[in-house]
Amino acid sequence: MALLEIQGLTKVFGGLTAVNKLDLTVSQGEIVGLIGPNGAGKTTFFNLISGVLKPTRGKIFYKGKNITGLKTNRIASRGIVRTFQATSVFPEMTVFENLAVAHHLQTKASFMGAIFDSPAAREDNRDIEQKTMSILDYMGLIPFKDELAKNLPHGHLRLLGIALALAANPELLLLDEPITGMNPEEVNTVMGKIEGLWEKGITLVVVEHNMKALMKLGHRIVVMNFGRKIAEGTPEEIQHNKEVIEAYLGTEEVV
Amino acid sequence: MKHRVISRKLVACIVFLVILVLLPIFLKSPYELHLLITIMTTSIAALGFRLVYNTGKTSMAQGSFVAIGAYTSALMVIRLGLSFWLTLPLAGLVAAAIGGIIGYPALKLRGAYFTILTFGLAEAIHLALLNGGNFTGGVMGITEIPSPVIVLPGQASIEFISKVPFYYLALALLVLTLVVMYRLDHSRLGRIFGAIHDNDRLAESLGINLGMYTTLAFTIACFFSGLAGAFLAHYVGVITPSSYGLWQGVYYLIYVIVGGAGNIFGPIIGTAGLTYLSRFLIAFGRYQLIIYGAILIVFMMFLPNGLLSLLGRRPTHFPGVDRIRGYISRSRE
Repeated sequence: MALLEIQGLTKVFGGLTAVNKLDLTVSQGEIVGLIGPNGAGKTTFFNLISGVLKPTRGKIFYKGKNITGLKTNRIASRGIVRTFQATSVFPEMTVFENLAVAHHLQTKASFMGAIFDSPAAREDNRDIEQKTMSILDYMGLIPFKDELAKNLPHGHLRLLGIALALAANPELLLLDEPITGMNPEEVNTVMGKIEGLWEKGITLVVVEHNMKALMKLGHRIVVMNFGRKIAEGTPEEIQHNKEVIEAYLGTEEVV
Repeated sequence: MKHRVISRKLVACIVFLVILVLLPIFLKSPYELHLLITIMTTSIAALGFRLVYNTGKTSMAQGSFVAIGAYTSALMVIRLGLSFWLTLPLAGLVAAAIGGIIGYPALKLRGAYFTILTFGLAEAIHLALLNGGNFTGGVMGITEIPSPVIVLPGQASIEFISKVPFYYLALALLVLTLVVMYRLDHSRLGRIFGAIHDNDRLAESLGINLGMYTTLAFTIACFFSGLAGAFLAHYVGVITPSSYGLWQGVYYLIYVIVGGAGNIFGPIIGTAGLTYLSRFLIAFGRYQLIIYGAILIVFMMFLPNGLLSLLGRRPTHFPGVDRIRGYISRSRE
C-alpha cells in the first residue's frame, strides 16, 4: 500500500532549484534510504514533506489524501514525524520532560482540564509517564532521565532526538542523518534501535551518508543529486550504478 | 496509604500572605501603602509579560493593554453607568479580546521582529487613545473616575476612600494572578509553552500548534494587564494616553529579567526591588533611566535568569513534570 506518494515535487528559491520534479512512492513497512552529496536537496525534501516549506510545484499525498502545503503540526498529527540534522531537543528541560512534552499529540484532556487538574488531565499524566519511561528504556536513556538535555553527550542527544520523534507516534518517520558523526559502536547501537522501530511497524525514510549502514538496513535506496532523483533500486543495484558512482560514491564523504 | 504532604513552599506562601494581609494595620503611612499598591498592580502586568516571555516572545506592548483595560473600565462606569465590579472583569476580557485579535497575526513573527512589531503596536494604541476625540477624551484623557464602592446587604457600604481598601483589592487581584500563573506553569500548557520557548521548530514538528498556544499565552497576559489597568483607573482617578504605554512595557521587561522569569515570584521581586531602589535613585533625576538601562544590561549579561537564580535551584521551567513525579512516588506507596 502506498503510504506516501510524491508527484513532481519542486522547490525554487530565487535562482536556485533545490528540488526538481521529484517523484517518489513509499510503501507501508518499507525502509527507504535517501542518499546524495551535500547540497543535493535531501533536507529540503524533508522540509517539503513535513510542512516546513511550501512546494513551488508538485503534490504530496499521504494515505491517499493531499497534504501539500499543510502546516507542520497538522502533518505530524496525521502521522508523519521527522528528526532534524542538527540535533533538535529542548535544551533547558530534562530528558524526561523532553519526552513528556513530545507526547502532546496523545493527550486527551482539554485546556481547562489541564489547568485545573481534571481527572482526564491526571490520567493523561499517568499515561504520559508510562509511555515516556517505556521509550526511555527502549533507547537506553533511563540513566539520563533527570539530566538537562543540553548536558547530554552527542550520541545520546541523537538518541533523544529519535526518542522525541517516536513519542509523537509516527506511522512514517523521516530520519535526517541519524548517525552522522558517530563512532562505529554508536552506529551499531542506533541502527539497531532504528531497525527495532521498523519492527514495531513504522515506515522509515532515512537520509544518511554512511553507505555501509544503509546497505544493511535499507530495502530500497533513492539517490538525489542537484535536486533530482538520479537513481533508485536495491542497495546492490545502486552500488553498481554508473551515474551514482560518478556523482557520489567514491568520494571521501562516504564511509 | 495516601496523605497530603504540605510543602514548605506552601507554608512560606501562607505566612507571607498573612503578613501582607495584616500589614495595613501596622503600616499607617499612605505613601508606603501607595508604594505597595503600585508594586502589586505592576507585578500583575509583569506576570503577564513573563507568561508571553516564557513562550519565547518579548512583548513591549503589555503596558498598552494596561491602558486599554483602564480606559475600558473608566468609560463603562462613566458613560454606561455600570458597576466597577462588573467593569473590572469586563476590562480584562476586552483587553484579552483585543490582544487575541491583534496577537494572532503578530505572533507569527519570530524573535526580534515580533518585539519590534510590539513597539509599533504600543505606539499605535497610544495614538488611537490620543486621537479618540470625545470618546477617549483626547490628550486630557478621562478624569474624575469614581472610586469603587462595595454595597453590603442592609444599606451599609464600604467606600474606597483611604488607600486601605485599594490595598486589599490589589492584593486579592495579585493572589488571583499568581494562582492562575502557577496552575498554568504546572500544567501540560506550561510544558508546551516551555517547549515552544526552547525550540519552537521542534515543538511544531511534534504536533504542537504554535499559533494557537502563543496566542493563548498572549491573550491571558492581556487579560491580566487589562485587570491591572482597570484597578489603576479607579485608584488613581485619572487616565490619559500617556499614563500607561511603551515605557511601562520596558519596565516590565526589566523587572522580569532582574527578578527572574523562571518562577512566578520573580516578577514580584524584580518589581519590588527596583521600585524601592527608585526611591534612592530619584536624586539622579533623568539619569535614573540610564541606571535602569545599565542594570538591565548587567543582568542580561551576568544573571539572565534573574535574582531568583541565585538561590541555586533550577528555575521551575517545566514543573508540570513534578505532577508526574508525584504520581510515580504515590503509586509506590
